[in-house]
Amino acid sequence: MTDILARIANCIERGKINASSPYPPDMLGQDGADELTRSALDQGLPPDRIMSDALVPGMRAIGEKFSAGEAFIPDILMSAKAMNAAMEHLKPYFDSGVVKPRGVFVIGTVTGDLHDIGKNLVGMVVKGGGWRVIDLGVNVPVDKFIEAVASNPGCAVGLSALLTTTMSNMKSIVEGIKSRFPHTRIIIGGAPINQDYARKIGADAYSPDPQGAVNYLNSAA
Amino acid sequence: MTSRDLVIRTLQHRQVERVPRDLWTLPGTAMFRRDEVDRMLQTFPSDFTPPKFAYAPGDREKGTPNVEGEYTDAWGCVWHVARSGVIGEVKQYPLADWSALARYKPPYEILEKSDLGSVNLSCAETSRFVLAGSKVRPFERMQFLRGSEATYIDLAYGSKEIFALVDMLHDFHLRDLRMWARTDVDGVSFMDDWGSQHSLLISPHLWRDIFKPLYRDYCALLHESGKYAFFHSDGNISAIIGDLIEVGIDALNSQLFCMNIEELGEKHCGRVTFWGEIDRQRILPFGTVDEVRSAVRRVRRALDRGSGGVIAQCEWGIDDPFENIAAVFDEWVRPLESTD
Repeated sequence: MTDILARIANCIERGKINASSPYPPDMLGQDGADELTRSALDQGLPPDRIMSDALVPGMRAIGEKFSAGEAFIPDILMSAKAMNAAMEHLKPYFDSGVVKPRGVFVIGTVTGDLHDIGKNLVGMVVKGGGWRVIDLGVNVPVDKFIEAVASNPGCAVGLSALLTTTMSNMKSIVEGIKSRFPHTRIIIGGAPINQDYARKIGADAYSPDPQGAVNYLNSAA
Repeated sequence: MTSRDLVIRTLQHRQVERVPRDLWTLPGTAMFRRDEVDRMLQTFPSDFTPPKFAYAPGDREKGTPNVEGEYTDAWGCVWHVARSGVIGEVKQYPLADWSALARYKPPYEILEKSDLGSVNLSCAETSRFVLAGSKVRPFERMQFLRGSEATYIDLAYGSKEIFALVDMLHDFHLRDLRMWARTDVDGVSFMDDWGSQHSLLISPHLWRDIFKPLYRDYCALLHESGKYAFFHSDGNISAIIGDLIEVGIDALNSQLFCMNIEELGEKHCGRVTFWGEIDRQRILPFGTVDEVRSAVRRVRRALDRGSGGVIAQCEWGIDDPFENIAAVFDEWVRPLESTD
């Protein structure tokens, strides 16, 4: 039984979505995360175990490779597609409450900024880490973040900005959230961002990459 | 020595009396701080100038670039701009669905209808190095046409459609460069953004497979016509700088402060001209004048060996203090202290 979990994890790490997917070339014709997850459930494996022992390790592996500069954006995106294929089979268990997420993570690109690829990558890897992700999109004003936090008590928040002209909006968003919900954990990221800036604006953490965000959320949960 | 001579000697890695200057301004800076830009250029004149030229409008163009709201470019890509003066993002992609590829045509009209009549005269009338900005940006354009995530996934799959798109764009870009090759401009610039803050966006292997041959063709075409090839990329591109030099890039603008500047100097000084820069993510917008000067000294120590090969370039962002930009150019001409 553990063998199938390892195979699912490998499919997710390698981005093998299903049997008909031509990617990666060396896994052509093999079952992917889709078929194997279905099979694991059919074999009676608990869905939360599939999540914790297959999906999470698979995404963690690719996330760590990305952090180390051994994997790149196409790799993470394919892994996310494989993970989503597996998640389709687990979704009913999440919806019914049989499988509980580790927590809720609200993420958005800040006011004035329209960039989303970095945010999307973080969202995918955090989802693969077992979190429920609420993506508010781009150009998100403070009010929308506050509304999301109010609707999801105990959630963590991620803010993304790519431009020096928009990173200053992170400060007002952090302040806005903290003034209403002071215990909300806020992590920030984006090209011009660093640890010093996070400290300066009162954010709780900074991560240069998606896996760093997952590691922080898991440690803070 | 004219500015043109100064830049050419720099590109040829010959000793120069001073490092050439090149000031870039983001759209908002030019739009809203024109007087300051003019004042800067009076104090620190640029050694570069564009030719007198504008690409012909595209048939699909609508709206005004860099103005808050929406505009459609010549390729049919719809840009959303959140703040005037700040380049927006493409949010509607003409090739979001591959079924549109068979019918899609690049905007050849912007090349065919372009009036080059004033280009050579403007080259003859200036003593500056005339650098033409081309439309060549293959990776960027793929993303503008398909969407970034779709492009990355396309590259992973290696589908026939993505290669058809690469070929289509390459043909257009070669035509663009052939247009410039027929003129008297001194150099032509092209770009793509290849780096994140810490690494390439795609694997070096994939880059060498698909994109390196394109750049080789661009450089060969330009060199055959006696032009210098200038290339810009954002992000940490240290993994491919050697490749860019190999294919013939003469001057490289990259985000030095995302990389190990000293290592770049050790590896590549004398092999390529470093076309700037000074950190535009933190130091120029938020640093003190002393921090700016310190950054310039660091770049000089790492990259200026006293025999050309470096250009004093920086990019003036919309909110960057005037005094920081002035400090860049002032520090480039000061004697380099032995200690910082």
